[in-house]
Amino acid sequence: MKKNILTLIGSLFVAFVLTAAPLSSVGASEKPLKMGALMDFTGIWAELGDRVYKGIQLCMDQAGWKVAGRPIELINEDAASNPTVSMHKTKKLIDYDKVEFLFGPIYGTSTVAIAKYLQRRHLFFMPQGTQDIGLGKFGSAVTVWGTSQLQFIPLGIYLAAKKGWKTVTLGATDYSGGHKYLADLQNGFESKGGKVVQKQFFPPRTVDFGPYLTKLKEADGCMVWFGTGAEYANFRRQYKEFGFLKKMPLGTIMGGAVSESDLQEMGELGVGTIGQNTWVLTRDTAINRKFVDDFRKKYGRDPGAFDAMGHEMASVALAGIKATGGDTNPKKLKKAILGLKMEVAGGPLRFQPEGFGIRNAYMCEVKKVADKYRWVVDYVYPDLTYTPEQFRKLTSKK
Amino acid sequence: MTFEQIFINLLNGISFGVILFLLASGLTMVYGIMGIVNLAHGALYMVGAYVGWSVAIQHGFSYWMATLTGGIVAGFVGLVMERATLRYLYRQINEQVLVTIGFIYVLTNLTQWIWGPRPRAPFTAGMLSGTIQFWGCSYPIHRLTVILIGIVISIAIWWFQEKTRIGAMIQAGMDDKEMTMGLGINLNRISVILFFICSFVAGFAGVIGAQLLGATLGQGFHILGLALVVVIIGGTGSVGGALIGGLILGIFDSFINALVPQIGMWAMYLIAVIVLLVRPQGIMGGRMK
Repeated sequence: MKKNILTLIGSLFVAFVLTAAPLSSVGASEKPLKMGALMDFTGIWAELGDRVYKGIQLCMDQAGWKVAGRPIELINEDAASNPTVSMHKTKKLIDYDKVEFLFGPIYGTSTVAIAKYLQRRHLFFMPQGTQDIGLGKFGSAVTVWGTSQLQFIPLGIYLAAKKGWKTVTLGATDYSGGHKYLADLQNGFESKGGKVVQKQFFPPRTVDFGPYLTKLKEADGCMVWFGTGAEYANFRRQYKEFGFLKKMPLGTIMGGAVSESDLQEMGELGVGTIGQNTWVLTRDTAINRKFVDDFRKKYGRDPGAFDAMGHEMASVALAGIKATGGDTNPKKLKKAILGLKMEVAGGPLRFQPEGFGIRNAYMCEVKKVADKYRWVVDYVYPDLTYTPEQFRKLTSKK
Repeated sequence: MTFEQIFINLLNGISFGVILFLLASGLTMVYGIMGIVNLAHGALYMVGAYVGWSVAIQHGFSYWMATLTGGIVAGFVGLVMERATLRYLYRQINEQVLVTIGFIYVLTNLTQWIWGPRPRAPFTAGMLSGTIQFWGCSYPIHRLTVILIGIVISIAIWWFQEKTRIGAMIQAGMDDKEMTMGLGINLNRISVILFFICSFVAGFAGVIGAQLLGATLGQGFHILGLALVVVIIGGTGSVGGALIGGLILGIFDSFINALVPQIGMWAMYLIAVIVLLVRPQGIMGGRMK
C-alpha cells in the first residue's frame, strides 16, 4: 500500500515536472510586456497628452501589439499636468500594474518630480521633453524630441541668417520652459548679429494680451512661445487687431504646438506664421505617408506634431526592445536605443550618449496648400548634432 | 506710459471687467437671494463658451444665435443641478460647497468628453471682427461691443429687479423669506426661475467672454476665482457691487499686466485680501442690494 502511494506521488511529480516545464518556458517567452503611459489627459497639457497617447496607440496597432514575441499591454494613467499626481500614478503603475517601461509624462516639471524615483526603481522611461533635468544623469531615459537648444538655436540662426531680421521682440508664457526657449532662440539670433529688443513674459493662462500689446516694441519680427495652438491663435488675433500684423511678421517658436486642426480653425489668420517643427504633415517619405494615412483612418482627422511624437516614441521603444530580444533591463535597453539609427515620421533619428534625440529641425511657414492650411518647409537644419560643450558655450552668454 | 496707452489699457480693463461682471452677477444673486454658494458657476460659464463655439464655429450659425444657445444650455444644466441636488441643501453651506465643486469636475470632464482636450480660440461675429482707429492706434470693435453688452445687461438686470413683479418678489424674498411666503408667494418657483436666469447669464457670459478668452477646460476653476474676487470687492447679493467690483478688477488687471506683469498672476487676489481686511462686507454690501 505504502509502495503504491509512493509510486503514485512519484508519478504525479514526474507528470508535473514534464508538463510544467514546457508551460513555464512558454510563459517566459510570451510573458506580456506591460508598458505604462503616464500622459497628461487633464489639466493644462491635456491636449498634448491626448495627442501623444494617440500616436503611441497607432504605433502599437501597426506593430500588432507585439514585440520580440511578447504581447504588449498598454496601461494608461492620467498625470493631470500635476507633479504630485504624476508621482502617485507612477507608484501605482510600478507597484500595482508592474509595468516594465514607461512613456511620459508630458509636463517637464512632472518629469523632474518622478525621474529620481524611476531611477531608483530601475524602470526605463521615455518622457516627452526633459532638457531641464540633465537627462544624462538618469541612465534609464531617452527622449526623441532632443533638446530645446537643438531646436530653437537653429530657429534664431534662421531668422537672422535666412529671413534677414536684424531685430526681434520676444514673448512667452512665464514659466521655466518659456524663459529657456526664449534664451535658446536669443542665443541663436545673436550669434548671427541679431538683437533682441524686448522680452515679455505672460502669466500662465493669460488670455487677454491687450496690456502686453500696448507696450510691444517694434522690430523686424515678433516670435512667441505658447504650449498650445489655441493660445497662439488668440495672441495672433489680438496682435492683428492691435495693428501689428501689418507692421511686423509674427511666428511661434514651437510650431508643433500649433496643430493641423489649429491651422484650419485659424484659416487665413494663420497664413504667414513662421515656426520651427520636428515633423511636418506634407513630408513625403514612405513612413510618414503611412503614419498620416493610418492616423486619418483610425482617428478621422489629420495628425499633428505631438501625435507624430507619440508615434516616434513608441517606434523607438519597440525597436529598442526588439534589439534586446524583449529584455527591458534599463541598461541593456538604453544601450540598444543609443545604437539605433532609424527613420521615423519626422525624419532620420539617432541619439546622443546623454539620451537626447538627434534629428532634423524644419523651419516652416504656414501657407494655403490645396484648400488646406499647412506648415510648409522653407529650410531644414538636418541631423543636428551640437555637443553639450557647444551648447554650454552658446548658453553661457546669458 | 503715454496717454494713448493709458486709454487703450482703460478700454481693455473695462471690457474684461464687463465679462467678470456678467459672471459675478449671477453668482452673487444666487448667493444673495437663494443662499446658495454655487462654485460651479464658472463651469456653467465654460459650458456656455463651448456650446457657443459649436454653434458659431462648428456649425456655422450666427454668433448671436451662439450667445442665446450657450445661455439656454447653461441655464438648463444649472436647473438640473438645482433640482437634483441643491434644492435639498438650502442653508447647508458646507454641503453646497462640496457638491458644487464636484459639479465643476463633472462638467469639466463631460466637456472634455464631448469637445476633447483642445482649447478653442476666441471667436466673434464677422461684423465685429474689424478694428477702429484711436489716435493712430487700432482697437478691436468686439471689445467695444463687450462694453456695450455689459451696459445693456446691467440695465436689464436693474430693470428686472426694480421694475418687474418677479423682481419685486425676489427682493421681498431676500429681505424676509418667511413673510414673503406667508403672503402666498411661491418662493420655491421663484428660486427655480432665478437659478435658471443666473445660469443662463453665466452661459451667455461664456459666449460673450469667448470673444476675448476663448473656451478652455480650466475655466471652471480659473474664472470662478476671479468671479469670487469680484463678489468680495462688490459685496454679496449686490448686482451693483458686481458691476463695480468687475470694473475695478478688470482695470486693475489691465494696468498691472502692462506695468508689472511679474505680479499679474496674483495681484488681483491681493485686492480681495485688502477689501476683506478693510471692508469685509464689500463696497456695496449692506447698503445696496
